Amino acid sequence: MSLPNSLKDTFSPAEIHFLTENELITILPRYSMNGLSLITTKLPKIRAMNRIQVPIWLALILKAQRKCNIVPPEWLNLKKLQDLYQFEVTTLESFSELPYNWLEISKIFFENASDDLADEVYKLKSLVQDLKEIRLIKIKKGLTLVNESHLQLDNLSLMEINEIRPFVVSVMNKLTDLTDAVAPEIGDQEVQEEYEDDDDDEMYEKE
Amino acid sequence: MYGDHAAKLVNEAKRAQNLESLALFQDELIRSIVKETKDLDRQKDMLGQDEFSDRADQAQVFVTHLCMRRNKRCLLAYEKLRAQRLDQLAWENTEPELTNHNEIEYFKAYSDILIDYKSSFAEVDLSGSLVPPKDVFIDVRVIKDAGEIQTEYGVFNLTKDSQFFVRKADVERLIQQGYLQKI
Repeated sequence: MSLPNSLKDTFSPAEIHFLTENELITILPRYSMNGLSLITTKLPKIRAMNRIQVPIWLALILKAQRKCNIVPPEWLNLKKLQDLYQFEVTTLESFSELPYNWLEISKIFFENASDDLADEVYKLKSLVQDLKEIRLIKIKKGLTLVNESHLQLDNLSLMEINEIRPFVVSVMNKLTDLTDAVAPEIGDQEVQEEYEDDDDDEMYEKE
Repeated sequence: MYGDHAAKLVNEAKRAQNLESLALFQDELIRSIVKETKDLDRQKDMLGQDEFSDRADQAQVFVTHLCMRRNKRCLLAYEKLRAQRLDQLAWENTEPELTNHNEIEYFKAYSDILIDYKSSFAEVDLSGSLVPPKDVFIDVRVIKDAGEIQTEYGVFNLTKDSQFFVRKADVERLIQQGYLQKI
């Protein structure tokens, strides 16, 4: 079909990265540029040494040309990450309040703008990795609660949801099917019978 | 038992689902299923003549009918899977080796519809790469000698093992066709 099976029910990591690149981020430009009005966004007028918010994709292009510094978000520093990690360790029922795309943002910084980070990159990297792992453990624990009706996933990032989506959705669908089969509602039954009748008619027509 | 051939066909379809290339069309198997269905039909007609008097006859007509329905379902499932595969190949712009002339016709017709549809969105390359763009410029290495190739945006001289730094949009097609390798 037009869409390969691997992309049918979920996003690929590249697509999540693409979504993230449309978010705004603060930069400190080193040169001036006139604003541009593009069809998706309007790029603001950039003045050297004046902080300004631009889409991440533009920030990355400017960064690659060494024409700006990217300002890290307020959660991407040692102190804040340590606090978040403490919260994760002490509060076992909920996830800490990280932005929905924290994994991508931190990856973008580590790969493209590691010189703009205030703290040592290797420490930040290991903290981000720790956060990722402890959240993964919590997710796995939470999966024991999967049921046929709902699941609460506050503060879970897009990538983390994406990773468990194929599994959780299919399991929940199965559970829903099983529950419905045990206690069928009257409405459902009627629909079912109607459908079977249709099938019969079709068959006779063919013959 | 009736339905055994059909079960074989469905198993075959399931196996082919995970294959890279399109599997051969199961001509023999399908013909035997159709023959079986025809036999069942004849049997049903014969039973239906004596006005459904007997309960045993009624049961037999019903079961015969179920067998025929089962066969139909299996055949349709098989064909549907193949049709989906053919659609996918049409989107990827690769010509499959088909033996069944119905399928050849279907593939041609679907490709025509696709070209029709694509031409109504001239400025979007609908069958292009589905990976979101990340870099504007990329390094590519030539892996197959192709001589001079004219793209929409200019001329490349593709000699093997040479390297280019080009705009991604220009070479996407050539990467898809296997002349270039992204670095």
